[in-house]
Amino acid sequence: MKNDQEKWINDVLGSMQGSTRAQPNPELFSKIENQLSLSEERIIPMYRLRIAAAAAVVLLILNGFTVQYYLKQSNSPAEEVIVGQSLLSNYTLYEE
Amino acid sequence: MFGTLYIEYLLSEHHTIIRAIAHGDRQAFKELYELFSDQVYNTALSYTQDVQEAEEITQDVFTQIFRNAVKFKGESAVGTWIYRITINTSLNYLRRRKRFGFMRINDHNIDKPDFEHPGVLLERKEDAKALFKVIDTLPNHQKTAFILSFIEDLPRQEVADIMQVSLKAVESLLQRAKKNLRNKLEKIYPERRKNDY
Repeated sequence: MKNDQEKWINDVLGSMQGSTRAQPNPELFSKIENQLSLSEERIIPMYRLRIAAAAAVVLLILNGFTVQYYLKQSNSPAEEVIVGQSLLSNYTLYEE
Repeated sequence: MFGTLYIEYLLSEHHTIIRAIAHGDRQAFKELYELFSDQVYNTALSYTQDVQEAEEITQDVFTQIFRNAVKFKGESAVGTWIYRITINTSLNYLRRRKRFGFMRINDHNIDKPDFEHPGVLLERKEDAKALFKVIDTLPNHQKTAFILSFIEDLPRQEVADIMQVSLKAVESLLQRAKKNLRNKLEKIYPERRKNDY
């Protein structure tokens, strides 16, 4: 019995000897190509990302200039104090 | 001499194909698929023991190859690189199956019929079923060493290259794998005898 068992175990361990390769479905490559085409459509190309990044940088710079320009144009703190004081003394915004 | 030259020619040819794929060459991609799809599919089949999952893995592996061809540095043979991707993808599938198996209605482990490899010789079909049943119980490293050496029939050095371990480590993994398989088969044997009568 022990010999039978040993023989069977050896047979099992060597059972893949002489076997042939299994073949995948012949349509598998078309599936892979389709999957690649679909994912390529979904991926944003690098050059588009670069253009978007450059546009964002230009927009930020323009915003910076605008803010700076606005700050320069607005009243200085001293002028604001004078307007505030006259408003408190006569309750009119513009003196007659 | 000519054998070595031919192997070198093939290796450089494979590198050329990968470079072409990195530039988006679909024809080169098809060529690579024809060269390596059998290897990928059969390896995946040995791990998953499921035709549908093996096809999904093959699909996944070739998609990864197409996307990552540009990252291939050519430090190893293309076949070795593809084997590594296949093994990692297969092991990830097995991990996912184990993790989410309980959520499936037709759980893989419940009433799962024994795997019948499509390429096995008719007179060895029953033995091969028993072999795959016990391979499934091996730890991942031993399973990989066994599949590559005895099912993919690769030379030990190539197995060591794929697994990125020494030749000695491969021998040791195979020894432990065989010992574990023998122990499991010894437990199955009485059951088998009962079924025979």
